[in-house]
Amino acid sequence: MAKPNIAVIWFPGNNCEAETLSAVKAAGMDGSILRWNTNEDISKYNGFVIPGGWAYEDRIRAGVIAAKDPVMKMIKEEAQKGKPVLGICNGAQVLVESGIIPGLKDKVEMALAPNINPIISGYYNAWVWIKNAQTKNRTAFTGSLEKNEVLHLPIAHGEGRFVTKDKGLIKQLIKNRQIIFQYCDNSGKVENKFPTNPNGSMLNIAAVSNIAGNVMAIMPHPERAIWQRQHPELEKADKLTNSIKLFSSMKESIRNKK
Amino acid sequence: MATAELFVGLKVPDNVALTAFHTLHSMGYNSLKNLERQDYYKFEFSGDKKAFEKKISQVDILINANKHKFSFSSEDNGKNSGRISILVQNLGTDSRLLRTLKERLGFKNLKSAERGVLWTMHFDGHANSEDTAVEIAKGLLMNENYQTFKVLSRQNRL
Repeated sequence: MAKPNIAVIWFPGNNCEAETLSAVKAAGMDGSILRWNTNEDISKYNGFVIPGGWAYEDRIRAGVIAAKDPVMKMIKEEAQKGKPVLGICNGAQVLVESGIIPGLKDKVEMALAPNINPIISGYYNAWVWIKNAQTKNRTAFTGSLEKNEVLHLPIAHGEGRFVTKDKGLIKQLIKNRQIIFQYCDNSGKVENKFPTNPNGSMLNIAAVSNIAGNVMAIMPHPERAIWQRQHPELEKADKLTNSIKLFSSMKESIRNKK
Repeated sequence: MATAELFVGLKVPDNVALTAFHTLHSMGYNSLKNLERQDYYKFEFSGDKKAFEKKISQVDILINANKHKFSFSSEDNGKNSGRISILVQNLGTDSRLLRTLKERLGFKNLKSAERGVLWTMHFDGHANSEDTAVEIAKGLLMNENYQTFKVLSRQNRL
């Protein structure tokens, strides 16, 4: 069976495309880094990842210029066909600013607002814990993850606080099971306080999906934590960690659809 | 209590404003002829206004004389000239600027400090320019989930 072919969409200012593609390949998929203005027909790809970085230098606010780019319209169309789309960090900001996440109304329903953090303002780097808050097959990226399974991942952002002004939306996200990952401690306990919640996100949200579960915006960086050697506290070995499951789940979801 | 509004812009072309301008054109706002961006500060303080303005204009965390130009507010009905200014501010209170100015930079007479980004739009023609400006603000320049905006009738000139 041919390996699923993934396009990693690179906007000017992104800087995580290489390790994102590396994670895609480590999970047993093929892929390419595509420029945002490619002439290539992107519909030939089985799935998409929008990597982290600073698309368009975060001008105006993180993700908003890329969100208006014509390629995002094409990605939205591919997502509507059921193809998986994963936005990591800046990619998550692009998905939220484009309205694809959470995607309940045809407008921007959420924001990734500046962090609220008691020790540092602006950009913040740390290793955090997140847990899968839903059952394992809720999304295309969590099929291999048990409910409540905990991942240890780095964050690196200045605007990572999931917020909405629409109180009804939060109720809908809970009802629809669209809050996929939440910041927690290393035992999986969700407490809305720093440093467990590193940026002040509502309900400790670390990742949100669309209602179908094939598009997910996640602020922490799983691609930076798929190998043990990438972790500060683990033995420096070329062994995969459970963070690879986001990508291997993506692979399986594509295969299961064929 | 006196107030002062400080507007800080770049001396060189503003890449952020240029990117926003080109993005807005790609979104179909072709009546927009120019877009300017300035940092906006509003201060409440006790004491002499002129002295405060002189002192605050020397604070290099707000104004770097090598790259910034600045002005204090002046009354002007800019709505009639095809120019609309929209102020975008984050919701919620952020006391860091006030704390820094009071505790580290000696502004003991300062009572409040707020900040935002002022976008000034120049339109080709006057018809519905304020409606268009509001649409542009909501469509690109702010995210209503954590920001707010207001149309300023005041126009500042650098």
